[in-house]
Amino acid sequence: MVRSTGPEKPASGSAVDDTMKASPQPEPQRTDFEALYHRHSREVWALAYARWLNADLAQDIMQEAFLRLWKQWQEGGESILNPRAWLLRVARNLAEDHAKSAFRRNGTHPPQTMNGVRSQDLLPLENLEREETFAQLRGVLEELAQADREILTLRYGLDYNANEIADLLAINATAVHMRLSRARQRLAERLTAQGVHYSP
Amino acid sequence: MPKGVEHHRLHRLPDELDGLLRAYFRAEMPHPWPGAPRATPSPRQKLPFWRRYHGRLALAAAVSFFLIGSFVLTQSFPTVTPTTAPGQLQESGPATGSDKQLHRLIAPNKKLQELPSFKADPSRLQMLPLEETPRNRSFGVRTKSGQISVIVVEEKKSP
Repeated sequence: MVRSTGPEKPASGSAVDDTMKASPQPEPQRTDFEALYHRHSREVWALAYARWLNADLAQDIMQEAFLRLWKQWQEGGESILNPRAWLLRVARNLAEDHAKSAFRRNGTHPPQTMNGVRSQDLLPLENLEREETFAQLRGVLEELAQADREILTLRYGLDYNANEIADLLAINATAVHMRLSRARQRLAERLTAQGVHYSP
Repeated sequence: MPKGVEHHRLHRLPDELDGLLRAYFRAEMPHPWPGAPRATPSPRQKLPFWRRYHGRLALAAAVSFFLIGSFVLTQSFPTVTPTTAPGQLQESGPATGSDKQLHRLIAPNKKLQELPSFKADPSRLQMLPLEETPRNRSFGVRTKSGQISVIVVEEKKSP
């Protein structure tokens, strides 16, 4: 399995550039769409992930959001002036819709059904230790507010700085600093309460 | 550095919260990053005009054919005004057998005056008694054109 050493930081494109490329054209260009995907797909994924803390679901939501954008371009309906904001809004709506979906409410199989399914890869000791710690961290993240999870995902998942987060979430940089600090503080407190000690 | 040590360092959990969060979110992100979704072209845009609307066009053609056909059929027949009730015989002129026979050939809704060959003129017919027996009597009717019809009248006995 190919693992990158770090996330590929997407170039945060300006809304003006996006508007020029995403304005409704008679024949939407695939290259423009690919560029837009390369630029914003990680942001869309991060916001969807921050909602449910489920990487696969976030990927599905991200793909669905971009698919809708492509169809919107092809049909030439509503003009999208800011594709980035449009994508983020669609991703948020899709993530919220998932809460109401029958799949989430009912599921397809009870969790114990998958207990007997074995991974093809052997799990080394380090991976077991890491998975255990990550499971603890995920449990604590689930207890945090969604706004805290969004900021943490953007900061640590995408390596965004305060200005980039502020631009994405439409808040000012000071608020980002404040929210980030509080989110880390709350996270550290809860981890400490579980017996995991990290310096905040 | 030995490969095993490097592997251990890469997978060792970070001691700080920042490092832990960074490692967690990076592990959660898809590797490799998926490509852009490819939408299959919608069939509505690929299909030609006829394929897209053939159902509606067929319905419109059928309705048009029905309306135009009924209009043409209505216009092809003359409008007639019945003078008598449908199916009733027109009793005019002398009540001869030939007249009755003629009337029976006329369509009920046709006006008798519109027929060119019919004229209720008794002088055109000449009746000649041919034979008289105790049971029946026969007459010959000759028209001006020379056509002769034989009429036999039977006397019905009362029971």
